[in-house]
Amino acid sequence: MATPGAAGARVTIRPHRSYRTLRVSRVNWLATIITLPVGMMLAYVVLFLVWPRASAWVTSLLNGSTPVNTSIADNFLWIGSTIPVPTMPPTGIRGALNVAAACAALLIVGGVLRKRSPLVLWIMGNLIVLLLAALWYFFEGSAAYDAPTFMLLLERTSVLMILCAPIFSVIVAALLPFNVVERSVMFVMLIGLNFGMSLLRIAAFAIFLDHFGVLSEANLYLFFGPLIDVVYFILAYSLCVVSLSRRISRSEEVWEWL
Amino acid sequence: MVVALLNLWLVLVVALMSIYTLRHWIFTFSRVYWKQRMSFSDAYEENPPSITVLVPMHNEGAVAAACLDALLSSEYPAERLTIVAVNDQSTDDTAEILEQYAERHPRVQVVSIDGPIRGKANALNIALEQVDSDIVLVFDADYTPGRGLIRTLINAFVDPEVGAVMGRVVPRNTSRNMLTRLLSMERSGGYQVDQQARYNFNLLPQYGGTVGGFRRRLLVQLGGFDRHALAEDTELTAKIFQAGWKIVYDNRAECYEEVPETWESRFKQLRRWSRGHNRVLWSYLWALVNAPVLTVPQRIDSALLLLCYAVPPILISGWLAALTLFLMGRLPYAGGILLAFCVVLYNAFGNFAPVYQVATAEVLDGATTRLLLLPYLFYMFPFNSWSITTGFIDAVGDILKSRRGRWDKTARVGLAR
Repeated sequence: MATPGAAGARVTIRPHRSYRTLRVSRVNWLATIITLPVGMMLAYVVLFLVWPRASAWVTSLLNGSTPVNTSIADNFLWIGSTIPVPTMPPTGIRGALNVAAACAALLIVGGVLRKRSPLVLWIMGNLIVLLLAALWYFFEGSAAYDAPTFMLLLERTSVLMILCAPIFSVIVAALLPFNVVERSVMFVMLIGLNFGMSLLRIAAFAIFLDHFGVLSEANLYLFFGPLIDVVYFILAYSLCVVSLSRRISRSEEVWEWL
Repeated sequence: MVVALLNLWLVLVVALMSIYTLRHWIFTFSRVYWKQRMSFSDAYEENPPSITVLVPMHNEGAVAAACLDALLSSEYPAERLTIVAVNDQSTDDTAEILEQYAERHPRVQVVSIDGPIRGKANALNIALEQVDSDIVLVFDADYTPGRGLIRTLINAFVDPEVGAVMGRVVPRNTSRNMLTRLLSMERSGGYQVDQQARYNFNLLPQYGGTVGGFRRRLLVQLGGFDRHALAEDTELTAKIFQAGWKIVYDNRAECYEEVPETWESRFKQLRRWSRGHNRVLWSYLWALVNAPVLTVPQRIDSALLLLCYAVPPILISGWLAALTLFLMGRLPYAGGILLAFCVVLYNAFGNFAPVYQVATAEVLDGATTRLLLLPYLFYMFPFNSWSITTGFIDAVGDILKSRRGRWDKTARVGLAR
């Protein structure tokens, strides 16, 4: 949007935010179409080649340093894994009842205080899950998932999340004019973070279960797991969006007047 | 049987959320790459119509003066602009401030309401009885309209089929704390992308109750506002479209507001919005979906628009179904890889949908470093879900017990700090 100025100088007129949109290029579409199959293939190859060794390495680390002393092997979608299995402390009926009572008491205190910040609501949400899990255990007398089954569920979910990353990357990248470098960085970050965080999550959850037992399974799987996933997905995306925004704020040809 | 029902419910919830996800994506894509629809500009350059600006106020002492000063310094011809400040049972110094302005400025009229009912809808109904002009604009007291805003907004009414107009809301206290920053980002996504996209597609851009206006005779024809409504804006939106009129969204008409600065205040605001919106959902969903004057895409959008404050409780119910299945050891992951893949993909992408809408809006707004706050939007997710769900529960109680909602005032801080 450059026009000749008074003394021959170029004056840049950037459209006000209400009057502007972005140009789309053929390269952008091409990148979008190509990234999906190539990305999924790459993600699968990385999983196929690296995941078996990495998961075995994490399991061996845990076996050497914590009470997590057994492991199981899995082959999900032809991707091999070795998963640590924690030795969960036994939870008796009385223990479950104590946990339920403590959760209920804390929830009542929280309700009376009426502090409604995200952190407080997040804690109360976790307390509700823990309370329900304890009550379930109290009435059923056992948990639905023993340690190997739970860890298997966790590992398979992680594999699926890593395979989802390229789809996610392509869908969100189509919405803004990311260049090749930004697309690649987003893709690598997503796969890398997903991969690393999945391993870390498996290890951390195994240690957590080892200390806190079966009642914490639901919190780990339905609260902490998705939270971790979403946060690093958004983190990788936001870093690339900042880069894109800085680039296009200096680049006049990207903007188009309405 | 129980497991099958829970699984079915989970699938239905994911399907509903996927529809919203797709909608977010299409809206965002359209805002970035498609032709943008714009309303008239400079239509009334020569002979602007007489208009009235209504400013309902309840305990707005902290912000009343700034709002009235901004309206009085408008570029709109003074002889054609009447400002009606409605004092709705204030107990602070709002009444004194309004009296001072009425004494000093003949254009400012004060309507005082004393009665059993308190709330914006009732205040507007009473004030409208004293309005002569056909075009009426409404601003909340915490808004400071720019000098050219009124002229920009009224251009939409050059089209005789337009029943209402809505401008863009921009927070002015963005830098106060983390909450105000996040709310600023939410507003950006909601207006720069969502409202503009709905206008692009000729769907249902929403009249938002402030930074907007309507035709008085249309409102009279539609029976005025429900005096007890907590979301009179959504109600008017539904009525206008049901009657075959249009609403224009004008992205250029920016107005500055004060967003809540405490979580408590934000919780109350969201809860009230949800309560009011869900009562409108109950009253108008069927009528709008079957309205013969609406196109099929408009009918679909009307359902999605009215359902938006019912989505968090539905999502929470789906999550509770997942929790129950988990405790029973029957989570559908064992059921099939495809379903598992869909659920996991939704978790990654569906939860993320509002974030890329906000990110795109912020990029269009020229934001750079503050985009690093995007992950914190997820921090608000359980907070928003719970506050909206409590409002939903309130609305269900209202409907079942035929009771009326109470207007919880949003706390103001004011500019002079």
